[in-house]
Amino acid sequence: MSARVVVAGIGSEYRSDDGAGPFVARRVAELVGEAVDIGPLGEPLDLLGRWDGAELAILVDATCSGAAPGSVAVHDLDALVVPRAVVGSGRDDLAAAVAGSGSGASAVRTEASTHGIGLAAALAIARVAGRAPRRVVVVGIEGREFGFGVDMSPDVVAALPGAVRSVLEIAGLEIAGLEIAGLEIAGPGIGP
Amino acid sequence: MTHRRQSADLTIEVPGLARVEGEGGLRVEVRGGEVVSVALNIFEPPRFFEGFLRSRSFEEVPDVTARICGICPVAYQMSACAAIEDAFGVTVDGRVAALRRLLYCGEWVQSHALHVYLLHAPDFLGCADAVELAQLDRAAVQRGLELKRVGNLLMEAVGGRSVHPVNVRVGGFYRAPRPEDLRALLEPLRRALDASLATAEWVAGFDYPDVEGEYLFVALRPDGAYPIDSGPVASSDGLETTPGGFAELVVEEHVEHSTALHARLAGRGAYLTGPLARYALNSASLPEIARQASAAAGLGPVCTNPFRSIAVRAVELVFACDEAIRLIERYEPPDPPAAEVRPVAGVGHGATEAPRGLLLHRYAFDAEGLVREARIVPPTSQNQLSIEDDLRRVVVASIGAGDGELTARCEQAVRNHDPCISCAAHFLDVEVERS
Repeated sequence: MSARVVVAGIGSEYRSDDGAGPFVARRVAELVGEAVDIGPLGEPLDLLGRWDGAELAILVDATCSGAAPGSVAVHDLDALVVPRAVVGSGRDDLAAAVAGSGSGASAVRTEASTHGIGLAAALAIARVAGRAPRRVVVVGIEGREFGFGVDMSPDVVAALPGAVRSVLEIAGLEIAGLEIAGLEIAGPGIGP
Repeated sequence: MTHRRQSADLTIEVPGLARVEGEGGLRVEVRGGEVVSVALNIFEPPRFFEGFLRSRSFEEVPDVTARICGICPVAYQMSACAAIEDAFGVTVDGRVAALRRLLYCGEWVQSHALHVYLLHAPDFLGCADAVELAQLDRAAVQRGLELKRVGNLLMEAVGGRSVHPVNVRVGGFYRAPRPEDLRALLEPLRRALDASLATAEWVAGFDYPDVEGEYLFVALRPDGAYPIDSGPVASSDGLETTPGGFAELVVEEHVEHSTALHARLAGRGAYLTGPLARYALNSASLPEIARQASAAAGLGPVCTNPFRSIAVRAVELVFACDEAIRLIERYEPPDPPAAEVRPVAGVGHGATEAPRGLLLHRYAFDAEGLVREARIVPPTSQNQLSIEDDLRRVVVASIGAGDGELTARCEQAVRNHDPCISCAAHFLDVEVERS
């Protein structure tokens, strides 16, 4: 049986660039060869119960870290110290996890993600409860506009193919079968 | 932090509560030992969606509104379907109604498990957050996560997937689940029922502040059943009306401190929806096992202590698991899985019980079934005035407390009602500035 891999897009398709994560994850599902329409995860907390026991979880999320809009950054959280966190400080997330690397930060506060309860917290809870994926990789796409609306900024739209390729590469190096948001996709695998 | 305190003067300001679907703030002002103003400002995403829906087909409405809340998509789908069917004069088959109720049970289980274990329980156990709770009591958090997982499984089996279910359509479902697929959930649900009973016992041991609120409760009150997906709207002061009649009574007002609308009942004022209201108006309709859980949790037939809402949610977890088991044991696939739907020009209303409270939808359609007007009244906007009343009581009762404790109490007072923003568990970054 192939290793279980979860690909999830986090964000709202009705908040402009926040729709980048769900868009990329859905496109990955299409490319893998199955007509699987994934549900966007509004909150990283939604991962709990869905990524349990996965060998690899690839999370695609819009960020607002101050980088140039449209830049794509890949973070392997397995290699990072996730700060004890900050479930409550409201803005912890990807960059909190990243910024906390090696610093042992206990209250890192950033605005890197658009989500109130962050990935760092969801991952910390899952780890303590023994339900975390072995490896978590975040593909972050820097957004520009997060107001209500269904159109993404041109910079972000231009970055989407690269983000899709990143996800496929990360998954393809690891697996022969791909699971999208909890749905197993039987197949020959992707990538090399 | 921005408390400003001069002897008995105090200002609590919470500037921004970041979250995609909930942004807001809190300001409490105390002068001369008196609370002079409490302003809770919770941003409401439905306003965008009301505009977005105009000129779209009725068939799009359930899926679009499901995106308003990542935690309770089923509630939005069910209220939308009920309103559209009301407008078009569609009556759904009893088996479709039972399947909808089953899907809704899944949402209650996952949402209540999330709130009880990860958002609310840390308040009672001296933990800063759910991560700390997981370190303190790993078994409890595992129990909560397992409950959430079973709720998700149920949503997937009926709704096609647990995030924004795709199997829901106006008139019913695209396909009826196979009986064997639902029966496979009985064993996990029976374990979830045990876990829910354990939850009720667990929260019974918490230490609750001795606070009683004065609430006008509003909830659905179906005849002889605990409310989820249908029923007339009732209040604790004797109102009983249809969703359409209720919509006429709900007055939404712009208030100075907020971009959101605050709801009140015409001629009555602030009111509260949600678990406390459902329970107060319907506890006699709970099944025996939930009534036992209620007794074990130390609840009477009515609970007005907002801090004990966690116990009511635990009882509703028991109810939802038990109800799901009952519905699966009696399940017969609806055939066809959806009623025929023919649009006609008209207005329709739908009200169902989201985990956080009554969710009202109203739509006006043209003869082609295009939305002419949409109105969505979520539980959080209905509860805002009552939450502000709670905050006023908490600040008065805790005025002598230190900054940290007062902040914690304010946070908890908001979290008692599980507004959408409470997804950011300890979101009130209250700051104190003394002069």
